[in-house]
Amino acid sequence: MSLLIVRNLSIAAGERLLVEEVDLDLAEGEVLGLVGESGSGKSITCRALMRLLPHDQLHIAGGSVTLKGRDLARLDEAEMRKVRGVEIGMIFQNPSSHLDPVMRIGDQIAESVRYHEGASTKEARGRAVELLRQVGIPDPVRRVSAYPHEFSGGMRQRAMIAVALACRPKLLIADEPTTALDVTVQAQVLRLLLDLRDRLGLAILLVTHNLGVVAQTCDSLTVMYAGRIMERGPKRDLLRAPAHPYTEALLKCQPGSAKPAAQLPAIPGQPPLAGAFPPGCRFHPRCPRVADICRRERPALSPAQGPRVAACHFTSALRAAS
Amino acid sequence: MSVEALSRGNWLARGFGALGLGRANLNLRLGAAIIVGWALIAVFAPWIAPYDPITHNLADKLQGPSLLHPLGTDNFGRDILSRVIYGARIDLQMGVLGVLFPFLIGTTLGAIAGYAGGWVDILLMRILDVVLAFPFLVLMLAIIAILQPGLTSFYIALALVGWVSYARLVRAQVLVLKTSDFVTAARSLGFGRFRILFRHILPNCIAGSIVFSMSDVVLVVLAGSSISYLGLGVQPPTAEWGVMIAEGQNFITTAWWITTFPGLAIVLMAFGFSLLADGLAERFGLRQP
Amino acid sequence: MHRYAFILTRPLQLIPVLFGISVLCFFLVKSIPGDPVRLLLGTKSTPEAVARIRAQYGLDEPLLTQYIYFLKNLSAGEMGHSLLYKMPVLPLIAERVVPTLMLVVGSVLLTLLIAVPLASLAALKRGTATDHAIRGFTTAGLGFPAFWLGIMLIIVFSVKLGLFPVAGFGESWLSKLHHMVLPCLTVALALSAIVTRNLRASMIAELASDHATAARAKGLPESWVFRRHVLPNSLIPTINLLAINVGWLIGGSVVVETVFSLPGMGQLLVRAIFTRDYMVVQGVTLVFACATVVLNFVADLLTVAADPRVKI
Repeated sequence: MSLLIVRNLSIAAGERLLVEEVDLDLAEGEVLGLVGESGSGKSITCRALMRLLPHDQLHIAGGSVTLKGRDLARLDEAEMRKVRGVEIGMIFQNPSSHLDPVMRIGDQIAESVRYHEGASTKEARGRAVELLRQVGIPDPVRRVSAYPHEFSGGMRQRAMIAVALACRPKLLIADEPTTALDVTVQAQVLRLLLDLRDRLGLAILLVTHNLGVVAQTCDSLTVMYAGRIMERGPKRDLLRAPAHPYTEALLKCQPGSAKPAAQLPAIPGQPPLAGAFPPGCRFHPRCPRVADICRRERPALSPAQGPRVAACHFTSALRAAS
Repeated sequence: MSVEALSRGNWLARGFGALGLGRANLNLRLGAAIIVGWALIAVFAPWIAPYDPITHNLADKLQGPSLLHPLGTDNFGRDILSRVIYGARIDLQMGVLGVLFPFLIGTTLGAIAGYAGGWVDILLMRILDVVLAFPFLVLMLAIIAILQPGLTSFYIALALVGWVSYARLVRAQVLVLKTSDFVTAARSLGFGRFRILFRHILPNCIAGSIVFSMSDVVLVVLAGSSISYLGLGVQPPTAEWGVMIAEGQNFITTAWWITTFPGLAIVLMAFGFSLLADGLAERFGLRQP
Repeated sequence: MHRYAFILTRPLQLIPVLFGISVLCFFLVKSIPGDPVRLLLGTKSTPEAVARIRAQYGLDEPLLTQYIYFLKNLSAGEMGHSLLYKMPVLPLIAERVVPTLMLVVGSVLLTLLIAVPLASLAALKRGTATDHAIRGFTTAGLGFPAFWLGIMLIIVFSVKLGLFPVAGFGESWLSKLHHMVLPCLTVALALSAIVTRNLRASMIAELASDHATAARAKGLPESWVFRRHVLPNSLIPTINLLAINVGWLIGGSVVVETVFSLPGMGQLLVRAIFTRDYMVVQGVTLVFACATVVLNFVADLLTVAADPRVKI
């Protein structure tokens, strides 16, 4: 049974739609990868799930976000606060700027426990030590009183995970959690996330532009481009035989997929600016298989193979080619 | 600020067009309008002022605001409005001259120190540290104490104390510009040191000092009127706003107008220079609006 | 090195500045025209007293020797005699410290009491009429002459409403506090204009910061985010701003003490200038300069205490 069901979610800046018709399904203990280039709308989708869009600029224009049977889009602000941190935890791309520089790490973990559960200072501190231990920070009793600048980048991301898990949420939204980290540390943090998934039964929505990260961690994938879903399905199928030219192009751009010493291929052109999307299929200006119909008609998401869906007029042709 | 007021300010904007300030922003326009207004009042004081600012007229003493005396009269029967109008001459002069001397001294010394470097720079920075360690007004008062109270002493004290801010500002910019490409180019053309400093470097770092000097005028006008209020600057019976406030303080229980209006005049002049400073900063892109 | 190690090393770095201050104060009195003994003793001087002063200050020696005498006297707490009060300068100043200290400390506290709510209101209601009104206050407030503002406050609160004494300094501590309210308010209104302006800007930046977003993602209410995350972070630059304005603050207190007839060091200085009591002028100037240096040091301490990242 799905923990999180997102249907038809769209996000707008004033009149301009930035994200349209996004569907997501996430079951307990599942890791769902949300993949796309920067500007594809994946980060604001995450913010929208938490209802943390900068409200003077962006708003949810339609759709539903159902968590354990409740539509979050309909909750009032006070009810929504009981969801944030308690039912959904969130971690961010840049742990350095997302931790308060002048508050002790322990207090940053403890404050949501104190606010949501009314725990005493001592109880909350105990929970903070326990969480730091869980996310693999050595000597947590001492580190709980440290400030963020005393931590390394990887430790800061671990601390932020501890902050997000303080009230034992069942769902973790991780917005590019490894992008700002060294490659070796990236792998450690991903392993930690998987480990937590196994131990706590956590569902994780992992936002990334890095298919290498996806390959290591996710169960299923959703590929976004220019504010729309291009393809969705189980990770193995998607990575082995992409049904959408955009997914295919992304895969070709990954280091390791090209021959050694050859130049890393890139997708030609630039992704469109938010809100200035081309008509028809949004990927058509950069698509190697572009045809007349792509410029005129927007392809609907349609079943491609097994449980997979893709939004391309030539899905069947692609399959035939592979 | 109404639309009419804005359009009435248009002739000013056109005036700025000639000075290259065509796209003047609101702060700049409003500030300039206030200061130009005060300047006109100062210049035409003898024609505008309804009464003589100095002559006693004891029959009319301590009268509240009325049609005859719109801002009332003081304990010698002098018309407050006339004295405020004449006061603009002194206070505006204090603001402008009081900034001019520190500006010239500080800019020159700062530029030389930054450009020459070495022991000249070290010496200047040490002096600067010491002067800055003193509270501005206290050091000025100490210098005035030695010279003897009066407007001249005020200018001398201000020149001795106020130059440091300009020197520090200009020195920092000269240090940056000294290593820039166009200075290297000028040097490779064989230009002399002073020519490079005063013709090439200084013009490029003067904008910051000019903007600073506008906000400095506010401080100088306040310092000047404060010192006059204390009795150590402009001396009575000269009509100066600080002096007027000091004279009126004995009558606050009965005649509030003697102290109130000169103070409002200071506030309005300071506000004008503040707006001018903000507007110029915005224009030169030196500060967030 | 420990973050607070500068408490030990900083005084050493301050020696050149303190040295410079003493030189300047020395030359201040040296540059007075006329016979220095006359200035120090007044017109009614006995020959013995003249001889004593000449010996004490080494007035017949070269300038450098005289300066060394000056330092020697200074290190013994000897700052000369006041002509007007007929007593040594140092105890005279010591008597006047309390009102000045109360004025400076009270003004800073009152400034924060005014600036923090105003800046918070402006930052939280950014772009509204409230915000514009507060910004108007910050632009105009800078140009309010403290002495005039003080008199206006006296007219309204003392003369018309009778809430506070017109001038002077009370006997009991409670009465002293009562007498301090309007003087502190006078200084604080001007200072809070600058502080509000800067605090508002840093609050707006902090409200939009990543760590505030992260705090909201924890489900904390906006008031909590503001109090626990936005406020502490935006107050740090305010400490520095207050440090920059210490000199201004002391200068302002000199004027305000005169307005309210507070028997503090500032009033002592102004009276001394009128009566040509030069040793008092020198002494007060010296003490004010040293106080500025010390207060800047205190500001550094506060910054280190408030911001764990800072190392000096």
